[in-house]
Amino acid sequence: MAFCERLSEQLAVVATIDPGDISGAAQDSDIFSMQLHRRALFILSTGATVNAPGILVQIREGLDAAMTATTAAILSAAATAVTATDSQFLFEVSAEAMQAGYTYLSGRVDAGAGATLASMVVLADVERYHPASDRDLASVVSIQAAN
Amino acid sequence: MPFCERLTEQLAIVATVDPVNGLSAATVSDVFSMSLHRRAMFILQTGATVGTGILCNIQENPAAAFTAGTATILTLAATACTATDSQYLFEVSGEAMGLNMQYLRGQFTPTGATILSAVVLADVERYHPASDRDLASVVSIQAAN
Repeated sequence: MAFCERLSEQLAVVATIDPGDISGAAQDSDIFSMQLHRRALFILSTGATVNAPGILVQIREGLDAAMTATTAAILSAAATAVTATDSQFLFEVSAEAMQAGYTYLSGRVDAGAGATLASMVVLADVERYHPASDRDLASVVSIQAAN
Repeated sequence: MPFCERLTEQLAIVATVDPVNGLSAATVSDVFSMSLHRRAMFILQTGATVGTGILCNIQENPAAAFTAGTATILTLAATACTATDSQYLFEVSGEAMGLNMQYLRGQFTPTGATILSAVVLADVERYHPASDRDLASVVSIQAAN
């Protein structure tokens, strides 16, 4: 039988927006570098309440880890397209699709003033250095595996 | 350059616990079959409030209804799952499941008001793209390349 890495060895948890009410100012996920990754998958989950007209979502790329200089939206979804409760919205970025000089990615959600339950987790593969779990956020407390 | 599938083509979203605020009773994820998957990874996310801990059980069963014969394949004591704004990962290989056990779900039992969510990803061995196996609640998939 061929060797098969665990998913937690293939994919790193590189950024999150922790679950909760995201109403008010726009919220950003952790910022991470795509230097060691080919692809990153942003999974936005909504809960039972999504404020009208919905959640504006942007996947932003930046030149530096602070995302203070020039940033650009590499993917975006209009608020009117992210209205479903208890649902998932997926956004995937290939490093090849990023602009020259842009290394960093972050997800941004803006739900406006009304109560909105949501969370985001971002997984990235690794091209060279395994296991991917070495690149997990420090907030990953434990990994349990059955085989 | 070799062909590289998108992550959304390699991995299906097979179950979730939608983000919930103030949860104080046991909740379970969607139930899914491992018949087409080698591995499944449960990602539990905690929010700003975690009562006094969350008892986490990853359960297997011979039937999709989970009516009888449920066994726990992975467990994490409530005292070990107390961190706020954190992630806990649980991974199951199809090979590790009991004889005739085919279905999986996550059961999360908080003690005290808790904010949490979970998403479960599974690879596919044979039939691609994995997105064909996504939950119906996956509304959209956007990709840059």
